[in-house]
Amino acid sequence: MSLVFTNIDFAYSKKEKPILKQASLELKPGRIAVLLGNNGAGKTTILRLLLGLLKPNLGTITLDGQDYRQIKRSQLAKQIAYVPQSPSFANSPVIDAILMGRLPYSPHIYKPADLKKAEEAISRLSLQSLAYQDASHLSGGEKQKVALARALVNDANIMLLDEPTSALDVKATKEVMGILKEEASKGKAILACLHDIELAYRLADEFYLLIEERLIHIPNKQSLTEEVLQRAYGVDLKIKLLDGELFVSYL
Amino acid sequence: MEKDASLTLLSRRQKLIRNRYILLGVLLLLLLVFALLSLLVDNHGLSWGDEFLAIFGQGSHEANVIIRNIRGRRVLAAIVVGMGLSASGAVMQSTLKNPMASPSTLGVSESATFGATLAILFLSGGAFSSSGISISSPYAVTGFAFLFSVLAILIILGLSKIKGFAPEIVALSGVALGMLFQALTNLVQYFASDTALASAVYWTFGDLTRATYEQIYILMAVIFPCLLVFLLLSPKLNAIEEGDETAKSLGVNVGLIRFIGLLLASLITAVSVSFVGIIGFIGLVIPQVMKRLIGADNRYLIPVSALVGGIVLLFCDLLSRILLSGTNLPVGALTAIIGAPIFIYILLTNRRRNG
Repeated sequence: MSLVFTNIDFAYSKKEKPILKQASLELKPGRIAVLLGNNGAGKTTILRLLLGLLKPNLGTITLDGQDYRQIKRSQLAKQIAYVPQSPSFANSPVIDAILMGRLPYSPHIYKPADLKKAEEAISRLSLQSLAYQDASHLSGGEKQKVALARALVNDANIMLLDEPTSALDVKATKEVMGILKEEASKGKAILACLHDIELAYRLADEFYLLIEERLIHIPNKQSLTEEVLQRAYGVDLKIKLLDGELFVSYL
Repeated sequence: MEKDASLTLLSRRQKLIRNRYILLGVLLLLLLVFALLSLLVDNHGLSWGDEFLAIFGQGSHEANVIIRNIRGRRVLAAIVVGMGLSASGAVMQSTLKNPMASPSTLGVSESATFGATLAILFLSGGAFSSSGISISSPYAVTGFAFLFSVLAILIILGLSKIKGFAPEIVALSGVALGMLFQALTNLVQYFASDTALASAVYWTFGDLTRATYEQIYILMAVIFPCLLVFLLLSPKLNAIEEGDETAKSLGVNVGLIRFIGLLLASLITAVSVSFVGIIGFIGLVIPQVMKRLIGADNRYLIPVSALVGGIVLLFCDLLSRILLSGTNLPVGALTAIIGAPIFIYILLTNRRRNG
């Protein structure tokens, strides 16, 4: 299942500066795309457009060739799972917060199959000890893991993640990166906004860089050059490749 | 090993759900016990046996009249209104993501009071009688109160639709409309005669004896189906509570669910206020306290709040009868007197936790 975003123009209001001009993007099955850009460049706006929460001023968004405007929200929720940047949960057990990912499929009562999926996600993210704790009292990192577990139980073909590792420690980051790669290998299309360029390099198959309202596509790791990154971030930086890993130093 | 862990996870969830059902059963039992107590306590020289038989219409004539015609009505009214207001409060707080929201947030109580005041003043709805102040045209007064409550609901929901039912717009518009109707009531009362003014003020006191059996059946016909809809909406309300963006990404039509929740919660308030006057704090405090005790899962919070609302209103009504022998205190005032300190306690403990 592919999600295509073609020639999108977007501004929050006519009086405000446009966030996106003629932006195009394609999420393909089995590929992880990472969206890079400065704070306020419009990364979260792109995710909101892809989720159907915002409507573009110009351009089209299609899911497997079908125009977004013709797809019901309840249908879209079965195809796209979302992990917000700072997830917040009501004071309910973590397992219930995770099960909410099955809401598009089981709007009234969760079925045994839903519980099984929740258990799997809990196990994959090592959340067993937290399963019956109050989700509203978790730390930022734990909340991010719960939000990812919810996205996993959603079983959608496309995953959109907004800074999914921003509050995670090294071990959890490694765990989450492994899970995302595993999901991509199962054929899911993944788009993650990230600030950490080194992490992005490790995770991504391709990149999208937001530079002054334009979305630049970098189709592979080799094309991610110093010059492109300097343009995107507006700072002098140096990159170095060592054993296939990218290291960034700021001047 | 992993299988064992997942079994434990499953069995813990089954236990959690079983405990929830047990608590609901206990609360239902408590509601019945309080209903029975409310029917039987303060026996006016009647024997307990006579009173008990009167519940089934088999007591003495006097006992039958007291238990079935007088107390039976107020017990039923307390259960239905208490359940309705408390569940509505839970829904309002959830849909508006605002712990200060209550069934009256949309200005329904104030608009009903304005309607009732108009009817008392212009349709000669109020009177002094040998037994004190009374409402001489109860149907006209109730009808006007209901008409203006519905008007307030339509105005607020109409205005809120323009801004896509943003919770802060709904809450603030409700507060503004409530203040407008309060001011209009004050203005109309300023020109009222002493009798009409006393009757208008008397009407605002929550009084469970006011509702006739026909009105209680109307209350039931409105409130119980609304409670059922609340239960059906509850998983979606859970998603809304975590933020509009999250709920929409889970396929929830946030605007529609918020509209239905607000409409039904306000409708419950409108019929309750119109038939029994203003019963404060039930809809504000009980869902708050229950949320702290049992969590925010609306599938569970709504029925628990409803049952506790019924129990508390029955208890307050019982107190209103027995605190001063021979005098019925206004139950609406009692709920506020008991509810206000509890609410302040909640606010203070919340601040402590946040700080």
